[in-house]
Amino acid sequence: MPGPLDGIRVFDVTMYMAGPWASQILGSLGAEVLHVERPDADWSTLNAGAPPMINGTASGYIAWNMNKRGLAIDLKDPDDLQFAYDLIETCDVFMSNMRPLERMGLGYEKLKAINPRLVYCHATGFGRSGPRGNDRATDAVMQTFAGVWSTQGSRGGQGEFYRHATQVDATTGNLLAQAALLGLHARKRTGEGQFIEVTMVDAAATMQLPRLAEHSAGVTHQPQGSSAFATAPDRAFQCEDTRWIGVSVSSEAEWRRLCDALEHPELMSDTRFSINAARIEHREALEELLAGFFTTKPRAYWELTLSRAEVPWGAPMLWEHLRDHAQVLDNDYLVQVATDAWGTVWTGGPPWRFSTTPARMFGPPIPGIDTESLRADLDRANARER
Amino acid sequence: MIAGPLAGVQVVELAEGVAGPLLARLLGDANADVIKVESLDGDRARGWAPQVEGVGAAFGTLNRNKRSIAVDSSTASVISELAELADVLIVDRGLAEQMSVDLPQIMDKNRDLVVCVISGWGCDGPWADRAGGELPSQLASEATSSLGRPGEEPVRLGTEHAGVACALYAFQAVTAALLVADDGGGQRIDVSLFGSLMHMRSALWVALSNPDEWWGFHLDSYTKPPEHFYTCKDRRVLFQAQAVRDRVALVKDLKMDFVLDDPRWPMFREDTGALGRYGALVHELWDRGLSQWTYEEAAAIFSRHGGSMVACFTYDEFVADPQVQHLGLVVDVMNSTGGASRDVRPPWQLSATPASIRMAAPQLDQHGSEIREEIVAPRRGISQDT
Repeated sequence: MPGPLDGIRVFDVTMYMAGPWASQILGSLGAEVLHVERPDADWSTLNAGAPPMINGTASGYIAWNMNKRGLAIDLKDPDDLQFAYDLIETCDVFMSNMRPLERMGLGYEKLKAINPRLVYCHATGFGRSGPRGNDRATDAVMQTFAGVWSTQGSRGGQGEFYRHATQVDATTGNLLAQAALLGLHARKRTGEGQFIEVTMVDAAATMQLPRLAEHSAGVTHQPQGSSAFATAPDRAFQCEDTRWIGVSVSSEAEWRRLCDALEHPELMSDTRFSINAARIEHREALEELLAGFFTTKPRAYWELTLSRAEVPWGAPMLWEHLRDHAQVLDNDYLVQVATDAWGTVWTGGPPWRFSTTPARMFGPPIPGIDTESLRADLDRANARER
Repeated sequence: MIAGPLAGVQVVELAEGVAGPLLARLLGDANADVIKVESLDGDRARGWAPQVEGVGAAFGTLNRNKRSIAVDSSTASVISELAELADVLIVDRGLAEQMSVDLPQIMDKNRDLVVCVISGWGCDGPWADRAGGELPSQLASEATSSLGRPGEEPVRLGTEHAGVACALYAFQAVTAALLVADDGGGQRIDVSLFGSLMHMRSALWVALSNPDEWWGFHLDSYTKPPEHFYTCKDRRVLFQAQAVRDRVALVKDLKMDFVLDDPRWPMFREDTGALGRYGALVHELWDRGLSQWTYEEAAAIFSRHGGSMVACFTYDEFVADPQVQHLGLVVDVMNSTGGASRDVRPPWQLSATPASIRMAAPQLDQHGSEIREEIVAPRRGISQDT
């Protein structure tokens, strides 16, 4: 069976990360994505993307443009622009995270006139108007602006930046892919497309929903290492062999099971620790007690003990563990994909498993590789009409 | 009110914490009708801190646009009766087992049902049956290697990154599967907290595959020290200098001539701030220079040279920012006890079929009797017809 979006065609004028990420998701779900790059590669994501580079191609281009076809169009060239319009007429979804699209002849009103059924999805940083409406946003800027730093860092230290800076971008892309899916649902009912906007501000807020709700309730967050804000005990403890184990108790049943696993059932009747709210109030005392218990045995002991007690735990892993790990490979969380520029690469496998309409992964296109065949398809269709 | 994109879609949720509830809440924002099934103890997030009127603060935002019905093991058949009438069934794998939910039987009775199963570690592999969670997923996917210092206590991401990402991916899968359920029937979708974070880090896995040049802002997060931003006279900031036209002129305007004689000048000239290759090496030079200026002064100088600067905003500053106000990100919602609380708007702005907040999060079993009536009514109808 093909993917659930088989038969859906996407015109993809996106660059850098958030936009390409969104169309890559649609491609993985089976949509035919026509990814536009300019014929001269200076401007393209090939060079503007993230290092490292191989064969003039950035890792970002590889990582964010899988599951697509390559279309080279110079939108400043009238003939090419007409070619774009002809293709857009055959598309279901238009995706962009660039501006100003109106000036490029790709504004919503213009494209709606060409194809009223087009679901037009647009990602912006701060929106399209307002005091920061023209500011450029990046993942790093949004982490700083939206207070992401303020809730994470070492215990009692200053908040810190998340050094794998792509996560606000990816979240924006995930919301943009959802926008396309919602537009397709609405179109089923109304028969018409629409304009849909997603901002990086909304993405940063979505990522932080629990924290923002706590903030609304009067909490001022301070970085606290591995400890959770809403639940306790929920942090990493150091074991006898100096290795760390993350223990995450977020329900009363898990708390009781942890007390049993630690062989300290008396904790259950300690009024300071009776319910989560009390454990949060007495977190320091609780964590100090537990830290003492965990240092008495090596991590392997706790892994087995907590597994048997059905208490959630996790241990820090790194790339060199992950790429050979059965849990990762059995679920296809890492997959190998053949690419033109980089040979075979590892990347994240589809994050969903469908029982009847499987997702797919294939390598990113050489920019423009499908331009001529798309042009020939259009010519044939036009000839048939005549 | 104009119907949202998923108007008419019936969702049943048997999930707790962040991932499942947020998935269902987003479907609810898009106008699906969501019934939340809880045990008599209720969703564990009801007990999280801080407590607002007896309910965890995060529970409110994760469970708006839903009705609640509580069941115990003797009335758990309500779940399959509801699922017979539903388009989507969302279950936490552990909770479904606890409630003895028979998924194959439910899917057999309702062939169009889209079932989304959420687990900690994925449906296959040696950890498939092991309890998972937020911190365990962050540690295992090595997300925590992009915060803190190697060897020290791991630093967790400030937000429930795995839970939110899992909800966002699951939303894509569910809405995609719904698009084809009319023709192709329903199906089962599996997502996990761990798998979602593995996918969020895809750019890193690609970059780690086999780079020519072992550098990239994806790759050095393991070894870089914690990034605490830059220090102006009055506050911490982040700047973007990639687009600065003349770095020597910028340095002179900032009264940072001392860097021109520093042996680190070649690195400084090339550096692009926190994400830069030599960011950590030249950090102190920037701090020395920027500490002569207030944020406003320094931002003006950067701006003149084609760069930009943002201040590290707290949540207070973020939600009060004129741009965030302009977007209408934060909205007032009437809660179930009649008071008002602040929440965040739906994340997509759909011009023709808007998403909406119609109901505050429910009290436990607030809608139990009306939902039971809804299940009973169609059955009466069937018996009368036959």
